This record gives sequence, C-alpha cells and structure tokens, in this order.
Amino acid sequence: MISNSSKLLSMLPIVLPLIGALLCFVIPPRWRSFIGLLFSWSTLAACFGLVWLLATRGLTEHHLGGWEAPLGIRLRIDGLAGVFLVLTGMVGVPVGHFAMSFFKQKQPASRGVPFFWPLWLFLWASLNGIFLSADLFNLYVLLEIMGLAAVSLAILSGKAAALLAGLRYFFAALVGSMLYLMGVVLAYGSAGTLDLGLLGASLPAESITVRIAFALMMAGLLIKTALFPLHFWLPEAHSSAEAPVSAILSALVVKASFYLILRLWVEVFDGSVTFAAAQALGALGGVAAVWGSYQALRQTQLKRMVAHSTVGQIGYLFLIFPLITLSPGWEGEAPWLTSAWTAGIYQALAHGFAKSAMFLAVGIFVLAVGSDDKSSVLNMVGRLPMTTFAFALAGTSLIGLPPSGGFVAKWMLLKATFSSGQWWWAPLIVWGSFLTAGYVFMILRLSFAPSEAAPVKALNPVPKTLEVTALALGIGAILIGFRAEEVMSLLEIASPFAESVQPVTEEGGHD
Amino acid sequence: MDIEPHQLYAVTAGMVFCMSLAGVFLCRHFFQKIIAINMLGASIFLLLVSIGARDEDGFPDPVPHAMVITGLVVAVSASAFALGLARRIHRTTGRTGFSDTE
Amino acid sequence: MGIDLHFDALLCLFLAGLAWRVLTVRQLYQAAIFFIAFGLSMALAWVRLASPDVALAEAAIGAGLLGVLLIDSLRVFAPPSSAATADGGAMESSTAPRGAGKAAWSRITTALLLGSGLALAVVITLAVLFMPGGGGLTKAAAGAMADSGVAHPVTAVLLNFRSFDTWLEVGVLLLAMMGLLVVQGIDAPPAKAPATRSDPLLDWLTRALVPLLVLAAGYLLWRGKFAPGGAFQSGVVLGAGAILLRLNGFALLERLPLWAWRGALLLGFVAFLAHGTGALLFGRAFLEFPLERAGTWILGLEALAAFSIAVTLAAFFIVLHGADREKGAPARNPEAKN
Repeated sequence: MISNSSKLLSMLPIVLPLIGALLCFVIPPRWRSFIGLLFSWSTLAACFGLVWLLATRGLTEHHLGGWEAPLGIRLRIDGLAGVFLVLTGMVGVPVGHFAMSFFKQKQPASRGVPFFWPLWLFLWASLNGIFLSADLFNLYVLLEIMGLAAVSLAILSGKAAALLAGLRYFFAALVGSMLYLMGVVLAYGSAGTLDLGLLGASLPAESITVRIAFALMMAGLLIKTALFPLHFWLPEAHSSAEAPVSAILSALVVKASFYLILRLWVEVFDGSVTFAAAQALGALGGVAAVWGSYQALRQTQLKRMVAHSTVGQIGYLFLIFPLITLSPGWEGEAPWLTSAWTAGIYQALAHGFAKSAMFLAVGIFVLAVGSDDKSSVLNMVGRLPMTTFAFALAGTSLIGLPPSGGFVAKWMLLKATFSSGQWWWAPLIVWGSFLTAGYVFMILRLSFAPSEAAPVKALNPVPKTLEVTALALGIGAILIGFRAEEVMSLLEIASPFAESVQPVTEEGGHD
Repeated sequence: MDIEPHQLYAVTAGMVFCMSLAGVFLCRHFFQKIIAINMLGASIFLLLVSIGARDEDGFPDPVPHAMVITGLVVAVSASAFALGLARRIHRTTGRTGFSDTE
Repeated sequence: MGIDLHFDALLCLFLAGLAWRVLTVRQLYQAAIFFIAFGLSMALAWVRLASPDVALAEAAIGAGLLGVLLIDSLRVFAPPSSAATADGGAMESSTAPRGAGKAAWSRITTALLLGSGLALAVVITLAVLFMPGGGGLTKAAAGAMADSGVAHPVTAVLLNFRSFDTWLEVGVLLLAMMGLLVVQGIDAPPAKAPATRSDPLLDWLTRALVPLLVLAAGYLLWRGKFAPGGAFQSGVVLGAGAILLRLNGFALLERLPLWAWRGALLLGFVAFLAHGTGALLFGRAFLEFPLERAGTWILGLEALAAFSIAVTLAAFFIVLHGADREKGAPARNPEAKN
C-alpha cells in the first residue's frame, strides 16, 4: 500500500506545472515569468524528490481515482521514468530563465509572447505525464496535449514561415496520433486492457492483429520522433520557432515519443518484436545519423543547421534497437545488452543538454547580430566568448568527443556493436560523427575568424542571463559524462528492460 | 458464414481508415486535409465501438464508449485549432496548401 | 439475422461511399456537406451498435459543432463569389500547370500512396477479422458499478474509473482555446459590435430554440447519472445555444470582462484539479471519491465541466468567426515577408 506522501509526490510533476500554467494564464503578463520560474523550480525539486523516493523505496505505483488497472489508470514511477523526469526538469529550468530574458530583450515583441509560460508549463506537465502514465489511451490524450502545446509554442512569433511550419508539424503530429490510436484500439480488442503492464503479460503475441497494432503504434510514434524518412516536418518547425522554443522542441518533445517507443518495445510488445524489425529500425537510424548531419553541413542558416543536426542525432537513438534484440537461436550470454540499453538512454540525455545549449547559443548569436546567416558568428569568440564556449561544449557532446555525455553514449554504443558482432553499425556511427564535427568546426572556425574579416557592426545588447543559461546547459552536457554510475544505477530500479532480456525466436517474440 | 454486425462495422472502419489516410496526404487544400484527419478519427472510433459491441453479457463494454467520447472532444479541439491556423495562414499569405504555387 | 443485418450492411456501404465522396469531391463546399452527412450517419451506426451516449456526442460535437466550424471556414476558403475556383484539389493528382517532370513525379507518388493505402486496407481488414476474442472490461465495470456513485456505466467510466482522462480532456479544450488565441493574436473574443439582427427567421428560431436548448442541456446533465447523457453532451448543447445567440447578433461571451471570460474557461479544469488535489491531501488517491458522496460530487463536477465546455466550444466558433472580419488589419503584414 503506497503511502500518502508517495501519492502526493508522484502527482507533483504533473500537477505543479499545471497549476503554474493556470496561474500564468490569468495573471498580468509582467508577472508570468516570475511565477513560471517559481513553478519550474518546484517541479524540478519534485522530480528530484521522486527520484529520491525511487532510490529509497523502489518502484512506486499510483492508482488514480483509487481504481486499479485494468479498470483504472495507473501511474508508474521506475528508474527509466525518473531519469527522463529529471532530464526534462534540468533542461526546462535554464531554458525558462533564458526565455524570461530573451522575450524581454527581443523587440518588437510578438503578440503571442504572453502565452509562452502557460503553454510551456502545460507542455511540461504533458511530458511528465507521458513519462509516468502506464495506460495506452491516457498516453494518447497526453500526446495530443503535447502536440497542441508544442505547435502553439512553435507559432508564437506569428511569422509566416513559422505558421506554415507549425501547421505542417500539427498535421504530422495528428497523423502520428491517429496511427498510434488505431494500434491502441487493436491492442485493446486483443487483450481487453489498456494498462502497459497487463498488456505485456497478456497480449497474444503471435496474433497477426497484435503485430499490426505494434506496427501502427510504432509508425505513429516514429513520425513524432522524426526518424528518417518521416522527419520532413522537423527542420522547418524547429528552425522557425523562437530560440527557447526550438530548444524545448528538439531537446525534450521528440524524446517523449522516443520514450514511448522504448516502453512499447521492451514492456508491451516484447513478445512480437522481430530481429528483422530491430535491424530495420537501426538501419533507418544509421541513415538518419548520416543524412541529418550531412544536411546540417550544407545549411547556410544557423538555426536550420541545428535543426537538421537534431534529425541526425535522433538517428543515433534508434541504433539501440538492433543492439538490445538478440538474433534468433542465440544461445549463451549477451553481456552487451545492458550497456546498449544504457547507451541509448545516455544518448537521449546528452542530446537533451547539448541540443538545448546549441539552440540557445545560436539564438544569442541571431539576437546579437540580427541575422540568421552563418556569417553572424564571425569573430564571436572575441565578442561573445561565453556563448561561443557554450556552442563548443554542445558541439563536443554531439560529435562524441571526450569528455562529454555524448562521448560516453557513443563509446558504449560502439562497444556494444562490436561485442554483439553487429559491426556494421560502427561505420555509420563514425561517419555521422565526422559529419557532425564538420558543421561544428565550421561554425567554430568562423567564430575564431580575425576581426578584419568581420564587419565592424555594433552588436545588439545581450543580457548576461542568456549567455549563462546557454553555458550552463553546455556544461551539463559535459558533466553528464562524469556521472554515468548514478544514472545507470537509477535506470536499473524496476527496469522494464531487465525482464525482457531473452533471445527472439524465428517468428519473433521471445521463448 | 455467420457474420456479426459488429464485424461489418469493424471492416468498414478499416476501409475508411485507409481511405482517409491516403486522403490526408493526397488532398492539397488545408480544409480537406482537416476533414480527412477527422474521418481518420471517426474510423478509429467506429472500430472501437464495434469492439465494445462484441456480445458480452448482453450489454456493451462502457470503456470504449468513454474513449470515443473523449476522442471526439479531442478531435474537435484539434480541428478548431487547425482551422484557425489554416485561416491565419490564408489571411497572411494567401496560401491554401503546402505545395501551392499561388 | 434477417433485416437487422441487411440494414447494417447497407449502412456500412453508405458510410464507405460517403467517405469516398468526402475525400474525392472537387468542391470544398460539397466536401463539408458530405462530411456532416457522414457524421450523422455515424450517429446512426452508434445507435445500431448500442451506444446512445456516443450517438449523442457524435451528433452534437462531431457533426454539429464541427460542421458549424467547417461551414464558417468555407466563408474564407471558398467564398460564394468565387465558387468556380473553390477547388479543393481532391485526391486525384491535379493537372495544374507544373512542369512535365513534376506532374509525372506527383502521379507516381499518388499511385504509390493509393497502392499503400490499398495494402494497408488489406492489412487492417486482416487485423480486424483475426482479432483474438476476449473480454473487454464489461465484467470489471459491472462489478465496480455499485461503488461508483452513479447508475450508468459510461458515466461511471468517464467520471470515476477513468476520471484522469476526462480531466485531461477538459485540459485539451482549454489548451486548444489558448492555441486559438495565440493564432489570432488576441486575449479574448473581440469585443466589437457583431452583425445586426437582420434575418427574421433566424431571430424567431433563436428565440424558440435557445430556451429549449438550455432546458435540454440541464436535462442531459442530470440524466447522465442513470441513462445516456452527461457533462459533454450537455455542454455541447449549451454551447450550441450560445453560438445560436451569437449568430443572431446577441454577443453573450464578448460582453464578459476579461477575468470572467478566463474564469469561465478554467472552471471545469480547476474543479477537477481541486477535487483531485483535495483527495490527495485527505489521504486518498488522486481524484478518488469518498464512497458515500461520489454521486453528488460527480454531478457537481459534471455541472462545472459542462459550463466550461459550453463556453469553450462557443468561443471556438466566436474566435474563428470574428477572425477574418478585421477590416483594419492589412492583408499583407510586414511580418509576412519573412
């Protein structure tokens, strides 16, 4: 029986941002940043509190309304959820501070700016809900909230390009939700429950309906995670949004649907997973890693470069799947499985910090110079050294250079590819890193260019807060490389992965 | 072959689902895309209710009904937002589709 | 079997045929009308499938409200003056004046998409036909009805067993409203004088219908405890009344001060939140009802939610409706050049 304080604590990551959103909707605009930040910090504290609860008491469940599954909806707090909750909080708070300063600075302010805080807090609540909820249909509603809030944030500036990109994003999100929901319906029809845990136990895995349900849900979530070739909506949407929104979209929103893919793969449909499907996902991921990084290299505008970089980095996330799925007829030990699992999640964490830092840094450059072109960064190392350094730190993690979170992730990934014998992923990983290094060093080279090359133009004033938050996130991307043990031990608490570690059979599913 | 009525509706739902999915991509105008997405949702709801109508104890499963009502409200909210956004785009740029040349 | 199955088969054919027409017809106006017809036929299907709750909701929300929003948008996308050019460019690839290469490419993609659509149709039919039977949640729900506080299973599921979903759904309404406000760049429905009452038929209809709608909404709300009905159906009917008033020139929502308007929007969501948090503070699970008071509290929550739903849905229409009439705003803003 879960204690009262645990029940309260487990609801806080969802309830606190929502209360903040409601308040920020009604109070005068000049107060919204302050209240918003107050609730941001409290939500972060609540997420840490929940992690502490996890560490001391293990898996926690909260049956909403007092009804247990399958009739009621269940919240489930385990290590995986805890890790993502903390990631969202640790990225969300600095981005919030950045936003407060950024919107004050950027004139003329667009009419949508007062809505930033209500929308962002609503979005944050939905992300936390997605991490915690264990009910398929509830997840659908949360995904819709996430989509509505994300698109509304993306169009905040009101510029024509943002509006069009936002509508495209919305259509993609809706189609994704519909595909997901169709899969949910087929799954419910097959098993009579919507609870993730109960489904995992009782789904008739060999049934064709279940496989099709799995495929549909995956297709929907893959659109939302923008895996190549379903990434068509992302570059425009993320690049035409305001800087703090781009950071939120790239660092956090795409991770939520990825989180769900992980859950489905490992917890719900682990009986229907096939080796071929895993390899296919990995192949798409590998192509994405190369293609996205290549496209980023070709861009002449800063924000588009960073957005294409997201497409590439997301590809790395999907290399986790072939490495956690054993080939049919495998016998014996498979010690690389846990490290592959950890590597994929680490990639998500490191990317969260690095990409948000990069988008914020680029946002500062654009604000300072007033132009999105590559040439804006000329000689920036002298004029905005903190921001350039933040960009460099972020780039280090994205490339996978030591010491950074990205390095830890890619190193573990490479080790897993070799110990599992799936050596063919390695060239793709390395190639992607080279291309990433290409665009990162291109920008850095421009920023170090001597002052004769740069037009001597006065920069727009850049508040220190903007630079400090970008730098903080960049440092976060590096620091996370040093705290691997804590993250790994947290992940192990009630890990859904641990139970699914078995070879797949010829037809799919586990023995 | 003994066909249950709910099976008929379920198969129809599948047909409409696929038609609407093709429609979302193939229709060029924002307005028709929005209608196609609503049809997509409607087909899923039809499948859901037909699952709920499988003869269990004489009365239908209430959970799919609740899911459909929720889904209807979500669909209309999303449609209202999409319509507003599409109209704003039309107002500012005159476009009615993504691949317009106008 | 017999007549029942024949009727169902005919209805299914009709639904499929209507769907095909909606997606392939050329004119936007026709698409909208076919869609509304489709929605109403769906309501029939719901009745055939023994789900009157859903039928009520579909007729009111899916066909009714959505139909109103669509027809209002037709004013913008297919103005009557240029009916000839109101071409939606339906499913077949158009023969627009593009390069020959592009036309061939779009024909290939169309063929590919239609082909995959067909393949998907086969796949999904298989999935549906081979679904393993087996238990929905009917038994579980029936067993828990005694403790739910209401006598109608669907209401019990919505307001008690899965109330978290319902709360979030009210949140979706609120969020969509916020999004619409962002899209239009406003804080509240524009407080300017609406069109004058010029249509005597509409005037008479409004005077006759609105009191009936209010009554019907109250009845549906109360009825939800033991029969099909409840907060959503009631809220939509009430909202329809507000829309009818607005169409007739009576600006109900626009006259509200900002705080009242915002409060009305938030009321339902906040009510659920307060109930849920209160439950937590008193040692229960989030959103858990105390057994002996569940019935009354459910009715109270439903009333507040219905009010908010009505305001939000009416506001959807009002904000959309008033959006394109701003004569002051230039057609090409400087921001459009970006």
